[in-house]
Amino acid sequence: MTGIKKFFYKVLLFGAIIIVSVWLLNIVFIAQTSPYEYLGGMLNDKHKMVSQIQSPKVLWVGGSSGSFGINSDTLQKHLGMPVFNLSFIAPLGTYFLLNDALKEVKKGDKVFVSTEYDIEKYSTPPVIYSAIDYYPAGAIYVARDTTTVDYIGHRVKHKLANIKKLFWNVFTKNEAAVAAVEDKTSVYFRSAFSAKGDIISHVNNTPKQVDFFLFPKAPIDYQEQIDDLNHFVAEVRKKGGEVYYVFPPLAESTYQYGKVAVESVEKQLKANLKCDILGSAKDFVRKDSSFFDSFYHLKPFARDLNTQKIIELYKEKQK
Amino acid sequence: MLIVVGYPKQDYSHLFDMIFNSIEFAIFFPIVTLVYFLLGHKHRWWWLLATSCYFYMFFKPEYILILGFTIVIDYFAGILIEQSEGARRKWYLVMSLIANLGVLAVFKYYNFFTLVVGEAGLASLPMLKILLPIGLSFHTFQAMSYTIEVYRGNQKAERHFGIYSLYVMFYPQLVAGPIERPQNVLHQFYEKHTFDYDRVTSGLKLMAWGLFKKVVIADRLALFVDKVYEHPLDYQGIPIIVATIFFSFQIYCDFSGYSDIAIGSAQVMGFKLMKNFDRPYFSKSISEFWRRWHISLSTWFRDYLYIPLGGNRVSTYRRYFNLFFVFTMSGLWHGANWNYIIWGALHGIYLVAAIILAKPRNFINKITGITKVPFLFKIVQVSITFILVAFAWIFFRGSYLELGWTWHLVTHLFTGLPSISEFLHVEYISQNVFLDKGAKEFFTAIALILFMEVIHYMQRDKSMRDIIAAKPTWVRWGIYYLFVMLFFIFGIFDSPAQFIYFQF
Repeated sequence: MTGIKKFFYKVLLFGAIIIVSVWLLNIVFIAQTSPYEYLGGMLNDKHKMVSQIQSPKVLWVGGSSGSFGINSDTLQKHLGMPVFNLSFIAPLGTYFLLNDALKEVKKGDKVFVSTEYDIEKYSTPPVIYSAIDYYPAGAIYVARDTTTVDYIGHRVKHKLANIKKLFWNVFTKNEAAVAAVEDKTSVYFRSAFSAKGDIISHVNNTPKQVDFFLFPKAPIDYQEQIDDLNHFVAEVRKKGGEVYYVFPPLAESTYQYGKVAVESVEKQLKANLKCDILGSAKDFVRKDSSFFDSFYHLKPFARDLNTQKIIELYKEKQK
Repeated sequence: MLIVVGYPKQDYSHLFDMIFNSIEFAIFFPIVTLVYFLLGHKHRWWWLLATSCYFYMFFKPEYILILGFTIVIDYFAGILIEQSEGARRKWYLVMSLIANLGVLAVFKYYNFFTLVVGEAGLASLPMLKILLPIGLSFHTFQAMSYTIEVYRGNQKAERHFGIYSLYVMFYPQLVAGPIERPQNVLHQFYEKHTFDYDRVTSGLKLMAWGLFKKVVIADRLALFVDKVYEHPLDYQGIPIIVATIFFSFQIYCDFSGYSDIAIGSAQVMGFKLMKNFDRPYFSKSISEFWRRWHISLSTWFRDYLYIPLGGNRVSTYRRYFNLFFVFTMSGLWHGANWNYIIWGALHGIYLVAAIILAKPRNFINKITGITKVPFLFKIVQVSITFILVAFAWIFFRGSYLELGWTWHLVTHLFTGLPSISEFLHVEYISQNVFLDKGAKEFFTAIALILFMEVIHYMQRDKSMRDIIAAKPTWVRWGIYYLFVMLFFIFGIFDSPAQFIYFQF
C-alpha cells in the first residue's frame, strides 16, 4: 500500500480546495445577483414584509396568476383587513408554495388559495435550486421529493451552474441589474412588486405575445395537489384561520382549447377539496386581450375586474 | 420501455444510470476500488466479478442471463478446443462462434433482416419487441477473440470459471470496450496489484481527461449537431457542414472519452488495457486513420477477418474485395441499419480508391512540387483525410434517420450556399453557422476543439500527464485547479448524456 496515505491526504487537500472555491464563488455569485434576483429575492422580501403585518389579515397564496391577478388595495378596502399577496410562481409546486405559506398564517387570518390548473405537486429542479440559494429556508421543501443522491446531484449541478453564470457575467451585461418598476420593458426583477405583494412592474409595459395553446388538453389528475391543499386547509384551521379556494384567471382561448383539462380539475376540486370554493372556473375566464405575457397573467385593468369578481363571490358566500 | 431493435434510435437514457459521467458511477468507482485494494489478492477476482455484474445489471437485470449463456458456452468451448485435435477442435470453435453470433443475430440483426426481407417482398416475419442488450457487440467480440486465440494456440484455455467470466465482464470495458484479447488481459487477473501512487494518479488523470472530452466537448457539440440532425429536412448547405464537422469531433470526444475513462479506471486498479485511440484526426490517410481510430475493433477485424480472408497476400482484385468486405462488416457491426453499412462500405471504397489512385496522386504531387514543402504537404493530407472521414460520418450520425433523410443531408451539403454579401449578414451567420445557439456557444465550442487538438499535438512524443508530472508541485496543482474550473465552467451538466457507443 505504498503511497496510499499520501494519496488520500492529497485527494482530501485538493478536494477541499475545490469545494472551498466552489463555495466562495457561489457566495460571490449570490451576492452579485441578489439585488435583482426575481424569485429568490421575492421569497425573502415577501416573507419579511408579511411578518410585519398584524393578524387578523388576508393572505393570497398560490402561483404567479395570483401575483398578477389581484389588486390587494381594492381587496383590503372591501374586506376591511390588511391584505398581503404571498403568491410566487407555479413551478415551485403546491408542496413548496402551501407549506411555505403556512408559517405566515396566524389566528383569525383568512387565506385565499389559487393554484394553476397545470401546477405540479413538486417543483421543477432548476427553479427550486435557484430559489433556495437566496431563500435557504425553502430547502426543507425540496429534499422530500427526491432521493438523497438526486438531491445532492442537483445541488452540486446548480452550484456549478452558478459558477458558469458568474464567469459569463464578466463578459456580458446583466439587464436585470438595471430593471425598474418605472421602465417600460422589465417585469421580473427583485423589486417588481408593491408593498402588498402584487406585481406592478408591468403596469407601464407593452404586453407581450401570448401563446394561448401551451396548455394541457387531456384531463389532469389533480389528486396529489388536492391532498396538499387539504393538508394546508387542515393546518390553517388548526391555527384558527379559514381558507377559500379561488380558481385562477384564464384566457378564453386557453379555456376553449383545454376545456377538458380545466373541467377535470374543477370536478376533482369540487368533489374532494375540504374548504369553500368561490364560484366556478368559468367565472374567471377572461378575454384574451386581458392577458399580459401568459394566459394566467392579467393586465392591470383586468386585475381590477378579477378582484371585483372575487369580492362579489366572497360576499355571496358570506350571505 | 421497450424499443423495437433496428429502427428507430435506441433510447437507453432512463435504463442505464451507471454511466461513467453519472453520480452513480462517482459513488460506485471509489467504493469498488477502495474495497479492491483492501481485500486480499485471492478475493479480488470475485469482488470485481460481483461489482461488474452489479454494474451491468443497472441496465436490464435479466439480460445478465444472455451474458451468462455466452460465458458458459465459451468457457467450456475453450477447454474442449484445447483438449481436442483435428476436425473436432474446429467443430468446437465453430459451435462457440455460432452461439456468440447467434445471440448477436437474434438481439441485433433479426429485426433488420425482417425489415429487409419484408421490404423486398420475400417474407413477412414477426418483429421482436426486445431491447438490444447494452454493449452486446463489444463483449461478444471479446468472447469470440478468446475461443479463436485458444484455437490458434496463442492462449491457454482458462480453467478458473470466475476469472474467465471476469475477462468478459470486467466492468471498465464491458459495455463499450476496448475489445480486449485474452493474451493481454487474462493473466493480469492473476497478478497481484499493489497500490502504486504514480499508477493510481496517472489513471485518475486519464479518467479526468476522458470525462472532460465527454462532458465539456462532446456534449456541447451535441447541442449543435442534434439541431440539424434531428430535423434534417429543414437544412441545406452550411448548417449541414457545420453540424457534420462538429459531429466528427463529438463522436471522437464521446468515444475516446469513454475509452480513456475505461482504461484509466482499470489502470487505477493495476490493469493495463489496450490503447483505443491515437490522435486520429492527425492521420494523413484513411489507412492511417484506421490505425488510430477504435484500434481495438480495427485490429480485431484485421486479425480475425481480413487476414483469414487472405489480407494483402492475394490477387489485387481479391484484396480490393477483402478491404471492401471487412469495412462493410465493420459498418454492420456498429448497427443493423443501412446507414452504418454505407458508412463502413464508404471507408472500404476510400481504401480501395487510395490504392488504385496511388500513381495519379504521386504524379500530381510531383508536378505541383508540394512534397518539397513537407509541412504544407502534411496539412493537405490531414485535411483531405478529415474531409473524407467527416463526409462518411453523415451516414453514421444519420443512423437514427430514415436512409432517405440521410440522403437529403448528403445531396444538400453544397446547395443553398450564400453569396459573400449574404454570408456576412449577422442574421445569416446566427442561423446557419451558429445554428441559433449564439456566438458565445459557437466560439466556446471552437475554442474547446482547438484546445483539445493543441493538447493532442503536444502529446505527439510524450503524454501530457508525463509533461505535467515533470513540473514543480505548485505548477502541477495550478494546472489541475485550472482544469477542474474549466470543467465546471464549460461542462454540460443538464443531464448525464449517454455515450454514443453504448448502443453497439
